[in-house]
Formats: sequence, structure tokens, C-alpha cells
Amino acid sequence: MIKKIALIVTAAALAAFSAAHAQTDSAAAAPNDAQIAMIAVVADSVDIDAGKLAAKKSSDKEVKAFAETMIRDHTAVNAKATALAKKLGVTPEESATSKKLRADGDKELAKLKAMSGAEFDKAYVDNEVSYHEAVIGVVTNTLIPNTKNAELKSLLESAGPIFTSHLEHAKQLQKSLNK
Amino acid sequence: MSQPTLQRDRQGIDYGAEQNVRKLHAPIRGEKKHDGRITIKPFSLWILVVCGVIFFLAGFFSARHGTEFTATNLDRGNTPPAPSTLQAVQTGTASASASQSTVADSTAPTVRHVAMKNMKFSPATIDIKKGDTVEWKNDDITPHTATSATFDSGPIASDASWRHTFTEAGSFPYACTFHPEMKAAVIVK
Repeated sequence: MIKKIALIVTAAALAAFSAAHAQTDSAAAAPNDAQIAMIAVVADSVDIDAGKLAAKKSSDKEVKAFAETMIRDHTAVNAKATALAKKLGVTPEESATSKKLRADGDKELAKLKAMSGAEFDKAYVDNEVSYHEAVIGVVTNTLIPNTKNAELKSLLESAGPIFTSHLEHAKQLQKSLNK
Repeated sequence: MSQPTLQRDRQGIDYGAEQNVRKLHAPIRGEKKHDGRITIKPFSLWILVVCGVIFFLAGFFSARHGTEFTATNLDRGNTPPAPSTLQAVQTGTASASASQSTVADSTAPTVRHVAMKNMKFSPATIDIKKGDTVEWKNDDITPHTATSATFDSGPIASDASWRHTFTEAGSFPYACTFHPEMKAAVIVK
């Protein structure tokens, strides 16, 4: 009797597990190179937009300098990524990930636009810290391992230290703003 | 002699007899006494020692002549020092090469190199002589600067470089104004 129950429970668990697994599989299917290129470009663009807002709005010299570095650096990475995509004949392709990145970025931008002064500075920098942490995770765990083209992979690998330095810079700013 | 056994009979030795087998195995088991000499055919130990000493002396004297190219020097971003400095290195054992170095040009400006790569200055600390020039090369995608209290490169674009000649001795810490965690120093003696 118990054996029968155990068998049914195991079968049910397996079914549920595989269903859930299949679902996450389709949602997070490995992106192809065209999608990876788009994700990289969108990730940069989101930070460039936030940086432009902060450069204009912030009255804190350090925050302004940080924002300008974000604009400068992400524009440089974007330019390289776009040029490489063109050279490889790859048209960046939207995916669920890139759409979500842009949607989240727009939401955050709207939130920041409604703020000002010290509150804005703190919210901007806090967001930059979590944003860069998330982007580093995506680049390291999803984009680089799935990139097929060697040049695109090497570009993404060189972007790693850039984003890490941004994260460190943002964390230092966060500390000084929270004093 | 006991009856030859079924085992193959090599060189007339009866492998069946235990004494015969023991006698054959003795050298392997070390029962045979050596006379104390360690021999490695075809060379004996003393020949090895002599060769070792020769190699050591050769290495010692060639290294003294060639100190400007040792690994630690390269790591610190040195270009081979101007030939005039070789004179200081020679202590007279290789007098022929010492006289050679005085012929070389000692007025050539020395340019030392620092790379900006992966958001770091390499080398992070560089030791140079008064009058030397340091050239910073941006090997990164993003623009950088090399800025201190006494010098400022301004933005250095990707693949571009910038030079500064150090006319005063001292320690010059500097950083990239765009990336404050990128810090380094120039030590001028």
C-alpha cells in the first residue's frame, strides 16, 4: 500500500518538476549571438540614459563625474559592439531578456525623474550599484558562456573589468553619500 | 646437476636449482657487495660534478654581463637601460665587454612604458631616473587619464598615448580621473 503511494507521489513530483523545468527552459533558452549583441547594447543604453539624467540633474560633483564616466564608458563599449556586429554581419535581435532590461530601465528612469537633490543622488547611485551587479551577473553567467563568435566573446570579456570598476566606483560613492 | 627442469634452459643454467636462481638474482637484490662507488653508466660521479661546476661558472659570468635583460627588470617595465649604465654593472671581470659599452650613445632619451589595460595601470609602480620620459598607452576600450598634482594627461582615447618627462626626483602618485580606483605611482630617482 505504502509502496503504491510512494510510486504515485514520485511520479507526480517528477512530472511537476519536468514541467517546471521545461517552462524555465523555454523562458531562459540560451540566447544566440544576435540576441547577445542586443542585450549588451540595451544594457549599455540603459546606463547611458540614466547617466545623462544624473549628469544634468545632480548637484553633487562626485555623482556628476561618475555619471559622465558612465556615459563615456558605455558609449565606448556600445560603439565597439555595434561596429563588431556590423563587421560580422549580425543584426542585433530583441529577446525577452533585452525587452525586460529596457522596460526595467525605463521604469527606473521614470522614478528618478520624479526625484531631486540628495534623494535623487542616493537613489541614482543605489540603482547603479544593483544594476551593475545584475549586468555583471548576466554577462558572466549567460552572455559569455553562450557566445559562439570568438570576437564577440572577447569583447564581452573585456567589458567585464569595465563593469567591475564601475561597480567599485559606485560602491565608493554609495558609502560617501550614506555618511 | 639435477635433472634439467621443464623451464627453458638458458646458457646451460638449470633454473630449477634454487642456488642457481639465487646467484642470478643476487646483483638485483644487492647481495653483491659494491666497492662504494656510485656509478651511472657511462659517466661517473666526478665527471658530473666537473660538468656542474663548469655550467655554474658559465652561467655566473654570462649573467653578470647580461643583467639588463633579467626577468625582474622586464617586469618592472624597463626597456634595456642606456648602454652607459652597463659600465656600472661591469666590475672588471669581463673587461672586453666593458670597453665595448663606452662606445654606445649615452644621450638617447629613455622612454619607459606604462599600459592602461583592464582598468589598471601596468606596472602599478614604475621606477625611473630623473630625465626619463614615461609613455602611457591606452590599451582599453574606454578613455583614461593619468593625473597627478604635477601632471595631467587629459583624456587619452583608446589606442592613443601620452608622454611626460620627469625632471624632478620624487614620488608621484597618480590616478585616472574617470576611474578613481585606477591608481599608480612613478618613483623618480
